[in-house]
Amino acid sequence: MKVKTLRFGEVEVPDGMVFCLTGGLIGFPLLKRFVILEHKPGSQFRWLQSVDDPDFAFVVIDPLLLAPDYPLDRLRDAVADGHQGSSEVVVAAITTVPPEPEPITVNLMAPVAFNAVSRVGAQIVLHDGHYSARHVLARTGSASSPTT
Amino acid sequence: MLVLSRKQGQSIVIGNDIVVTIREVHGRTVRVSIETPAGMPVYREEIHKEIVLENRRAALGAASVDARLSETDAVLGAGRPPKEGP
Repeated sequence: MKVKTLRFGEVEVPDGMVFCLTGGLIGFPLLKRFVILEHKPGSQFRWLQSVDDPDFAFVVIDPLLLAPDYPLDRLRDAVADGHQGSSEVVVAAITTVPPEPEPITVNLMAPVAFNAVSRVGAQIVLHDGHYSARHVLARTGSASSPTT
Repeated sequence: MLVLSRKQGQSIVIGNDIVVTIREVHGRTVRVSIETPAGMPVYREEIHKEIVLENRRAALGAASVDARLSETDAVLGAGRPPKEGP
């Protein structure tokens, strides 16, 4: 299928690769269908591009890069559809890239999770207070490395 | 808007399948339980606002990000192979 996007023009995506958030993104209830697009070869970032509105694309990153103990089991359970209890989960954390000098931050509190088989999922809020909605990823140009 | 009073242990039914029960009143804090149909999320309002705000900031910020992402990739990618999957 062809997907119209503001950022990437018209992109061709295999029909089965559309991910669905049943309730939409929190605060954006009409944004239900997405495709995941590469950013650049070798990049850790990807794009969660809305199929419903070409104007909306979100930078995402694998939260496990930032939080190795991220609660994947909980997210897997949250998107399990009963018949696919053991199916894998696709998780993406939305990344905010504000103008300089504000830091790039990652929303670890409310990741987007999809059932890898049905590709249906939700933006799930982790209520326990361990994860920030603005986890500072890196201050560009600073000497500190987040990978240690 | 409907405003009503309830005692501890009493409930409010919304529609056919949402039940809000007052569990405990303790000083200025009220403890409530909320039963909802499977898949219907329930949020604390301040958390919901925070996530809505953050989603909006992310949507706005995504307009011009290439240079900043490349710089960050250079930091993140040190010693890491390109990753498969999102």
